Amino acid sequence: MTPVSTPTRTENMRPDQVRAATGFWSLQIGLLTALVLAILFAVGIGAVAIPLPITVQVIGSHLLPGWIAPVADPTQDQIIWVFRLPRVLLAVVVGAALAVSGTALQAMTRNPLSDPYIFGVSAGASVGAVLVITLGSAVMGGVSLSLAAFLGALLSMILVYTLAQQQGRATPMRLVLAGVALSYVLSAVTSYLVLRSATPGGGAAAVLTWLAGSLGGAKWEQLGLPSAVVVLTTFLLIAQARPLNALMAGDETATGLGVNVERFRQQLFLVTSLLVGVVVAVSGSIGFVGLMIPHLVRMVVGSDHRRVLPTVALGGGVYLVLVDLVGRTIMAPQELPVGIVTAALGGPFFLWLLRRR
Amino acid sequence: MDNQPDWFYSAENGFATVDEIAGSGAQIYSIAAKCGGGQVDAQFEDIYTDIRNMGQIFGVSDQAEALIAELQATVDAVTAKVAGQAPLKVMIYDAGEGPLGVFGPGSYDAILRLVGGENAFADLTETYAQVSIEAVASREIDVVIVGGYDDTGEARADFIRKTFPTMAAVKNERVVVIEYGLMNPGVRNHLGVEAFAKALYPEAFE
Amino acid sequence: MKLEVNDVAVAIASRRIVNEVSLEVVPGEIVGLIGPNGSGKSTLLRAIYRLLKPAAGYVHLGGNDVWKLSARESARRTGVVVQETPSDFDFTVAEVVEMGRTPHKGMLEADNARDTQIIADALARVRMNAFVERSFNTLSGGEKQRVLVARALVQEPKLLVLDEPTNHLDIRYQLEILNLVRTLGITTLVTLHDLNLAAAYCSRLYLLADGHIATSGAPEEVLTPAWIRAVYEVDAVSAPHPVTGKLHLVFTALADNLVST
Repeated sequence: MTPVSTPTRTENMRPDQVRAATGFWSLQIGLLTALVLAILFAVGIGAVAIPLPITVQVIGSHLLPGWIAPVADPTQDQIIWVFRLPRVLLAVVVGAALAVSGTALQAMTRNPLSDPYIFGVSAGASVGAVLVITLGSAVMGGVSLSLAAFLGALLSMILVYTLAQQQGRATPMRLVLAGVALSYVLSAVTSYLVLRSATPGGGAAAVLTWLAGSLGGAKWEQLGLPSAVVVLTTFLLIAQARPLNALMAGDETATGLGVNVERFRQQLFLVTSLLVGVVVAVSGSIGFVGLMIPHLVRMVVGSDHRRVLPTVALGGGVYLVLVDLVGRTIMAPQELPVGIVTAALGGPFFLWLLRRR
Repeated sequence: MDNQPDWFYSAENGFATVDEIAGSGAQIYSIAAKCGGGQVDAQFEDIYTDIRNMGQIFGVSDQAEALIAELQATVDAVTAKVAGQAPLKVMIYDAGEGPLGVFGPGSYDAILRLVGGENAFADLTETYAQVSIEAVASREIDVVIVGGYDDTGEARADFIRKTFPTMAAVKNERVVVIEYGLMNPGVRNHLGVEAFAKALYPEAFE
Repeated sequence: MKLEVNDVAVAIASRRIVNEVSLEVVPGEIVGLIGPNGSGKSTLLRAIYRLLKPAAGYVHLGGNDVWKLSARESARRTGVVVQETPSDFDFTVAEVVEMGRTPHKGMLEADNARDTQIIADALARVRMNAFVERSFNTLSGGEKQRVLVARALVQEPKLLVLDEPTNHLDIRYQLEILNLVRTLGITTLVTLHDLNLAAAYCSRLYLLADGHIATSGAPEEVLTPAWIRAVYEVDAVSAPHPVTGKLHLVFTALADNLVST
């Protein structure tokens, strides 16, 4: 599909623009359909085989309690409604969040290799999470794992932004450098904490699983905040699509086009860090989604953020649902953390990209 | 190695090779009973082998035999109490809220065999694995043994109780924390056997 | 619109690169800013298009202080064509030009018929309409410059600012781009390296040296052998261009600057 600017009234467009505009909308509808299908597919399949009619009945009995009777086996009900459905929905939310934040960060740093964790946000979250896992929630003042991870992420974000300041400006280069440096330091702290707590079996395995990124403990309560943040952030970013495009062209060009570059970058930093922090708090640091999906999408729809943002959100959601499905069925009853599956796919993807260019 | 020990008591954790140690002039004893995620066909009696060997090495065989007799007496008393009970499915759970860290075949099978239990996850291919929460929910589990290593044991047991209300172990209040120190091969293992037995068949110990 | 730069000083890391500079460009004029490397041309330009804030003085466009306007309002008045590092991201020519509408559009406001028309006109003006769907990164230097001029045009600017638009361009494209600028009729301030091009295309010149305006005026008044020797440290002889009749300079190195053979 040929990327082109997006005028609205078809009678004023060239024929190729009309074709491309309809192409874009068909893609969105196609992705939305794919998302719905992926969700249904993923809810129907899992480590435990449950017949499709049962699955449908479970969901029906919860959504329309008066009309559809609950299933006979409470365990099946629990598996579908308490364990699987929130997990699949969380995969959608996390996938979308990572893809959207990756896109915004690549624009903000003008670096196609940026990913959501480039500002050390995930390293900070890891420290918070590992403290709770190894020292126990009680020692940490009763703070839950998610909250500790989120606080760690916030702290890291503040540190990175402060460290990158020079004469009141934080250029993309300095932000990336500060983020990378802080990531290394915090990773070392995490490793040290894990080493210190080497108990037979306990602790270390849980930490490693968390670090690899997992959706395995998904609960309904975890969905609310991340969903709200993703939806809000994506809309905010789409509204700022033009300045984002301008930013990609360079600071001077963006200024010439009326963008207050320094303030815009601050806003972007805030928004994406909150988004990534909220997501990392519930799912650990799932890699590659935030890096791969924006690239894939740009190859198809071009670099204009008005087209890229909605597409990565949907694409990221579909991708993570399917990847998580693989991770939790390929070695059943054992689970492969979704972060490992994305890494296994991400590596070859980049090698392939390398060969294309 | 700097301490120039005379003697090594090793569980073969891989810090130095046998040759390196021998080269430094120390003697090596490699224990027969390995820790936690050890061999698939570990035998409870391996502990006795080690004790006997210790006795021989240090020239206190009489004391070794006495100790073995004492341990065996406890074990015998326990197995007598639970003899004839129907076998129960046991999940030995470490930590994690999704996936769950669970011990598979070969880890604590020796103890389970003695007290008449079966590992609910005997089909796993590893001695320790991360298992999906769905699989735990759908299995027939009569007893959950929660491995204890610090003061988080009860909290983890509560997680099991809260998350799996329909599980037989939860319904019958058979979720028990047992210290790893008792479960892992060593001189306190007889206490571990006792703890396991009480967890599986509490009525037999009243 | 008239551009008035009054007693402006611009500092970078507390060092004044540009000091006590005043210049003006009246509506419709093409004014050239010339001077050796390091004289502060680009820095001065940045103060005018709002990238760097002046440490002293003011910049007025159409009677308003540029720095009291919002960034958007300023961008609606001033179109900028600058050298930018190549991007790893791929935009089509159409997308690049369309970016010029940014200062005129609100959030979530899509392009309307008028925008499409403006974009089409701009592309036609720079004769790049056949290239709309080409990837910008694949264009030649000259083609890229033309697209950037189209983007600036799409901003509907009252002032056009160009920073070394002829750098890295083949002779043909250097002449082409300046011819194009001349046909636009917009108030223009352009920095140029090539003194002959400056003489041929600008109605007035400001000669910058060490951050100060050394002299200003018509090309004949500024590009005298005396001034050129003082600022550029070369000897120059001027003669009318054999074809256009405009002022044309020929250079020789100063004797003192030659390495003895």
